Amino acid sequence: MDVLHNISSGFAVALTLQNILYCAVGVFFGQMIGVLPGIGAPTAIALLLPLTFSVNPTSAIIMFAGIYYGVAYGGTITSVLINVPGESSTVMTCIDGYAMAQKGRAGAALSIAAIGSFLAGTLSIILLMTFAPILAQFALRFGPAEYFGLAMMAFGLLTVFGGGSPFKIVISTIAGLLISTIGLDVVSGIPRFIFGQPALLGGVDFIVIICGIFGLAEVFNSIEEPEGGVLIKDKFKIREVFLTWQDWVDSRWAIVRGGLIGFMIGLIPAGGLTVSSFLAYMAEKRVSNHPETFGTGEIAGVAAPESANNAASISGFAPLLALGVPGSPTTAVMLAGFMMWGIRPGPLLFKNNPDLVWGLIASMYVGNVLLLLMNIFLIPLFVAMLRIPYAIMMGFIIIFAAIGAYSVNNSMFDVWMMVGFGILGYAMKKLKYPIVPLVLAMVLGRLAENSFRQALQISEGRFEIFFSRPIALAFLSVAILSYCTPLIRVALKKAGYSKSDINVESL
Amino acid sequence: MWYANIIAGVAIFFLGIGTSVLAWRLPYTMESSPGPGFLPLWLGIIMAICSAFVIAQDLKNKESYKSGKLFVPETVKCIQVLALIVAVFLVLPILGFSLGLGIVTGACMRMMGKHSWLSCGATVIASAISIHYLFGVWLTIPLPGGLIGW
Repeated sequence: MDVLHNISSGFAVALTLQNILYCAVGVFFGQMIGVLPGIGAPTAIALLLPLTFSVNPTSAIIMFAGIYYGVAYGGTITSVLINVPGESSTVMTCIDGYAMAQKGRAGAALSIAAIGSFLAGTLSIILLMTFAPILAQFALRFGPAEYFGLAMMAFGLLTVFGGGSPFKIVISTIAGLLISTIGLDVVSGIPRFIFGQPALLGGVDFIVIICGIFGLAEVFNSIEEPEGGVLIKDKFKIREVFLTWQDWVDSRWAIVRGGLIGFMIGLIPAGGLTVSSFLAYMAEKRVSNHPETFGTGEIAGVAAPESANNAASISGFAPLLALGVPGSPTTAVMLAGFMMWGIRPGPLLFKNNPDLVWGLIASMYVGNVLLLLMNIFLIPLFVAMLRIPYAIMMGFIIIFAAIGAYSVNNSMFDVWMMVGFGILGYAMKKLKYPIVPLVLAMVLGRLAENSFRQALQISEGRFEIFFSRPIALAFLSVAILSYCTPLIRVALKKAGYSKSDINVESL
Repeated sequence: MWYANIIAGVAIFFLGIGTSVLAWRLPYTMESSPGPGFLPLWLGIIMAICSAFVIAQDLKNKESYKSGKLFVPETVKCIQVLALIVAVFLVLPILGFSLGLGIVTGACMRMMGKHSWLSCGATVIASAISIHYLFGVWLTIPLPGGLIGW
């Protein structure tokens, strides 16, 4: 009953004209960003964040959340029409979505993606509003040892879900942690790694870093990546988006399964949309009576990953709101936003800022309805956006990145830092060092270090505090197991078990 | 590509060592808890160890880098854009933010898309005006002015 009362007050917040407008702007921009190459949700939110200093935090967060789950919808359009994923979370949609488009069923593919996303998103919102308060209540029992364990678990899970060399993932994580140590140490007041620069006493602002890594670096990466794909030229007629009865029969359980898989993966720190869509596709193929049809235009092959990625984008808010731990780069950027507005996400957020939390959750219902309508009626507009030359787009990205970095402290030093991080992000991608661990470690680094030190102060220097508290022990156990995963994989491979290797390229 | 990875691995190794050396100069412990030097010291050591493993992997798997290239033809465009950004940012105090970033936009169009000088020039002017009014006036961000005052 509490949940019903809370969500009704949330709707009172979400259904104000201002918040509906912000939600609509967010989902529209999210779709647009999903369609446009070279810019993703973290970049868009990073670039817009500094501009929302004076905006009401609830409205701003509603808009950013709209961008986050809107991006997945937009990425589907390019996946289906030109076989190029607009976002990493829509890679799996390319497989059957483009095949459907080649058979003249682009409208049906886009329609099932939109409807599946809507239904799975709604399911995810219902689960979120049920479980998030429970998670927050549970998190009230967390002390410094538990928060340290949680941060370690988040870092550890990156080696499970991240691709590539585990050593490079660890190096990237450590780089992020080291960046988070720059500035005055909060306990002792001793400056660390400022190299005589007073501007670094406060540390490196997260906004500056993400403007560089997600803004400028992406410009360089997009210049190098060749634009590919042949656009399926399809004049959409309204009747083409209506599905046949057989389409519904073939995709209904894919939507439910995809939604549940997406919700569960999204809850895990470092889980993410891409992993959820991949797992949903593989699961659907495995349970199908006709797995051989996957890859040839099977509608369930579109419904499952699309449902999963939207469900994951919604459930990804649970660790952010309830624990204060972001589960993805996008929610990490939003955490920076919360800090900018002086709001501390975590278990007390539900108690101290119920309007923000429940207003946000209620706005997701609104946003999902708006996205469904936009996907049915505005697809030609979004398709037209594919024709915008990137040469024009990149100039605007540079503008937003530079102004975003400058506006933090009104300092050109930050702009130069942004350029430096842009070069770093570009180099990391070239050398195949993942960016996500760096970003998450920068966000969680101070929390992890301060929690570790506080825990040892409480226990008077005894490490057993981390093993005597069951929740902290559980988190640290998962972390240790996660770090051992690469060794387990190698051992399994040597023993002849190749199925443990999750690799998109192996499809 | 292989050489680049080896060089990067060596650079990261020395970065890790250097971080540990700098962290050694900070207090390791304070009362009953780690001091400011504790975390960076161990992070530097772990970074150096991991980079050693990366170098070892790269030395063992040289064949896997045959198909990859660090520098592709488009890398030149990246360097050109970076040089443009650095050059404009150096003179931003003279040009002002609005005009400077407008020039970046127009120049990118010319460099990347080979658009006509007329359309690039129009973009410079339109961008400069839009930046001034959107960010400077509406969002009241105090962007530094330059020759034209904004």
